[in-house]
Amino acid sequence: MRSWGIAALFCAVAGCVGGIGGDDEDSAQGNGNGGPGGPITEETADEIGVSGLRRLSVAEYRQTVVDLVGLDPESAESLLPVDTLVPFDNDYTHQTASEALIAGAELLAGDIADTIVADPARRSELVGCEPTSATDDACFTAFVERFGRSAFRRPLSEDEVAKFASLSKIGTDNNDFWLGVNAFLRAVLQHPEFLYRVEIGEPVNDQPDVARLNDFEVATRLSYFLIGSTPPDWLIEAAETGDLETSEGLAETAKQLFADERARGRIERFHAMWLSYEQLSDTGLSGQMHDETNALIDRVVFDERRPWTDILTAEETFVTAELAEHYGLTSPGSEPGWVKYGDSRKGLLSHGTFLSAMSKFGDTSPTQRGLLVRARLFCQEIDKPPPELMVNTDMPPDNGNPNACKSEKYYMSTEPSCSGCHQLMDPIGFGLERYDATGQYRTTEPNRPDCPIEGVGNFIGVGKFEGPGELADLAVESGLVESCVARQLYRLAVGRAELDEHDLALVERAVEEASTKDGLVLDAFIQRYVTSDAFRYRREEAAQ
Amino acid sequence: MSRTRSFSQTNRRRFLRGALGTAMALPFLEVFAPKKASAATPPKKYAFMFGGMSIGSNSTGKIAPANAGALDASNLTPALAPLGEAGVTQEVTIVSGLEIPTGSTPPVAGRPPSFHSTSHQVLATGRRFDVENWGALPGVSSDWVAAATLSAGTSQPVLVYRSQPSFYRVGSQGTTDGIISARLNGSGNLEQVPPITSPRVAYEAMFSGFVPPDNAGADQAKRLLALRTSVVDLVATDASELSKRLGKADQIRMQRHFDELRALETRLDAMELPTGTACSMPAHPGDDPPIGDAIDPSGGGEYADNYTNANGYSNEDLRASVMTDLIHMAFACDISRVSSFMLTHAQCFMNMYTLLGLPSDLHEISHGSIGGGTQAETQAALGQCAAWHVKHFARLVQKLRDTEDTDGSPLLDNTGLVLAFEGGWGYDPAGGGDSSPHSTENMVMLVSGRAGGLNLGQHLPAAGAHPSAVLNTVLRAVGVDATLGEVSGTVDSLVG
Repeated sequence: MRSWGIAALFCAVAGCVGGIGGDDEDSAQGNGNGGPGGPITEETADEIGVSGLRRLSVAEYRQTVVDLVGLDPESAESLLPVDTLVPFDNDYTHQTASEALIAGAELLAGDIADTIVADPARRSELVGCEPTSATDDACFTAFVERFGRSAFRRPLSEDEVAKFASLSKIGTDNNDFWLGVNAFLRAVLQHPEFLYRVEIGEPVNDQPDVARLNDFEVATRLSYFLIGSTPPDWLIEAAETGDLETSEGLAETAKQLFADERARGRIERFHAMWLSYEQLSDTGLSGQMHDETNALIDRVVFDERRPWTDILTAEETFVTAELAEHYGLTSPGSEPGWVKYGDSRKGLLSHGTFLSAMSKFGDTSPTQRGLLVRARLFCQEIDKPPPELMVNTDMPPDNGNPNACKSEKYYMSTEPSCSGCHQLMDPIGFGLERYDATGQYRTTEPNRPDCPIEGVGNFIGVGKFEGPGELADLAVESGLVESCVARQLYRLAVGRAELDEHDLALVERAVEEASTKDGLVLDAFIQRYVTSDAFRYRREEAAQ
Repeated sequence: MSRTRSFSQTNRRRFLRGALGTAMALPFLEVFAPKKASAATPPKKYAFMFGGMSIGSNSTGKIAPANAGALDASNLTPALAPLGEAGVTQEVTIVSGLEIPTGSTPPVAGRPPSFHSTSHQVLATGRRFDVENWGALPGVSSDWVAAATLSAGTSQPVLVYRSQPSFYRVGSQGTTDGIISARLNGSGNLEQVPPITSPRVAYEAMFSGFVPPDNAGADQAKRLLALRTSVVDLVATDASELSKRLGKADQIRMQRHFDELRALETRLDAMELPTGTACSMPAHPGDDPPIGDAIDPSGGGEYADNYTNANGYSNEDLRASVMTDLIHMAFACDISRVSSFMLTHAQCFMNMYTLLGLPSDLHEISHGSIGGGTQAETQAALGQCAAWHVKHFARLVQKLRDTEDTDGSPLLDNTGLVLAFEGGWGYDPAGGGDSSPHSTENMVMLVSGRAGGLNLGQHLPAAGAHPSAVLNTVLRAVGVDATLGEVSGTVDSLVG
């Protein structure tokens, strides 16, 4: 078994209430390091995480293109290789530059460029000037400078402008200005500095593996973390004018980004990937479940800026009449709306989204649900069964009695050779068994009216519970969940699932400083994280 | 990629651009196959195919006929019926009784007891499963072993394809289940090779550079190619410059990216189709079929309700047809001589409803579940699923047989082909039971190609032989003097 003992992180009452979204932020202070070029303290050095070349995920590529040129390249889903979800889609340690990627990216860039150039209104708007002739170099060059800056997230050097502007010759040679534009768009949209987020930075004295990011690299970090897309023009300007040099500037920038509509989509999708319901269909009833969960996330994180744990303990949920009927709740009427639970449900753990995850053998899997809670919600990793146990995870559990109820077939948490691990998982899942994989309430096992579901769970080390509402209360009381949420968000931010001691040092300090007696407000954590000195630095990855 | 390839290497395109400026295009074969000996001895080819399913344990579900010896219309199982339909029964041999050994510590060329995601890596490489690097191929796969000998001078050393574009499983992604190709990269490190899953990308990666000589739009096509090539050249040069500014780990990543860009650039060179051979440009496949949603087997209602819809299917039938056509034409045009083609993911959750009218996914069918069918019904269903894989294999065999190589002989005479399945049936060390689909006993492989005198039209039992020994035999038949991983043996009855 690997590292399931989490460093228990009891959120101390901190004096500082910081937040991105509201007006009351006591803007987070850096911990005393110098500005650009200054020395870094040992504390900062200890918190600097590794970063490598990160390719935009398919979702990031699409959003970036939408923001740059105003059209959504849906075919990216088919032409680019599928991203690995571990659990997030942007883990660069799982990315490979394969033929599939390079050939797909070239085609995709061509599709987008062709579409733009074929549309006179769109192309004129994008290029921003009307060419006076096929050889209008001034118009072409101005476009290269402006678009290159947005797409590469930094101003282009004179040499770079000249290099890209030379593509206008393709237009000139063919007496078609727009052919040159087409070539330039293709070059940008498959360029490594577009496809990858490149972080290089400047060397730091006495820290051979550490570099300080330049302000454009910092802007890009912030932007992809918070809105999943390229830095808006105002952010590149802020980087250019030095606004990101100070903690105050970073705090203000993060606040603006967090107020962006795209931040909601980003944080919603963070939850979906993290808690493993991202692939659940977004049509029909399951689409309404996505809406239900997203509404709760929006309300707690953005609209009311309450502690994240309110997502677990919310006593209301946002449903359609159809979904309310499905759950057995009061109908909100003809329009979707918030309704009170009034039963043993509370928050996200009662949603069809969460309850659909990890089902197996045609029904819920108490083991998998327990694993989901332990590993994803509490960040307590549980290893695969050791090979010598000859465990078959692909066959339904079987206690040898074909007529046994499901609760008896799952014998593993009491069988001595299995219970070391299974007692950590299965009893949690059994506490959720009265809620099927679609979130409907039930009191007997499927097709087995003779098998009542007790619905009592035991989270060993934390306490006993019945149903998602009580599990949510236990989770909040344990004080263990908030540092896990923060850790997961940090994984998304750095694009890497494996965390080392530097990463954990930063996350745990930021959680501690951002927590209040009411809990951890997500934007307060984000504020602490992005204004920490370590956020401006990168550690060189060890080469294999 | 060659290990000596470097950023400073003069790229082929600059050399060719001059040639293309004149009215005379370079002869195709000189460009793509400079090391080809002569038209009298066409290069050998190797095609590996894979189906992510186990086979049945009785007469309708299993693939091999009951009796050994010659295959003919009277003894083809339902799974092998497509051989008869394609008229290639005499071009294919089925080897049965193959086995990958198991142990809690994987033995030589063996796997751990748990079945899923532990067998395809072993059969493709001949190496024991790497429990420390769970799911990854532990060595170089047979396609890249073949390419080291066969692919010199071709623009695509291995066609790495998969027709199933998604894992189709809510809450799980099957990342390593979708890869069956691994090679040594330019730094000498083992590298997993993700497949191309888009038919359009596969087509354009192969045929973008071809301009039909008498096409009215040839000039425009050449202009577009010139544009694309200039752009890729610029991008590749920038990748090379960028690489110099990166740290070591990132440099390795960018070098890979650069290598692929240069390979793309080579493929984009405007080429005339060769004349006097069977090489021709297939029709563009158009946009890719939409990718189906994941299946939620617990989605409520009756079991079948979760499958009687379009989820879990992306028209793999069409995708597989396009990809086999491309492999066929790559061999005919000598664009590539080696392919690795996963028809389906290992542990395949493809919904078989649209394809075969079976309201279940391939994995569940392997476990005997089609929503409450009888044992006989589920075995019949399993046979149908295997037959779908065999159909595409038979299609490729038929096309290679009916197409001439450069010397006028059938392409099939210079090719070795294999269709492997993920599992067999028999003892399951993890779950127990003697006829479990979670087993690598009683595995089968289909073999075709007349290169090296392979013994075709047969059912050859090879009790206990390792699947990689079949690959060794076929590799040697196409002139690749290699031993796959830890498996040095061959299946001698398969030769002569």
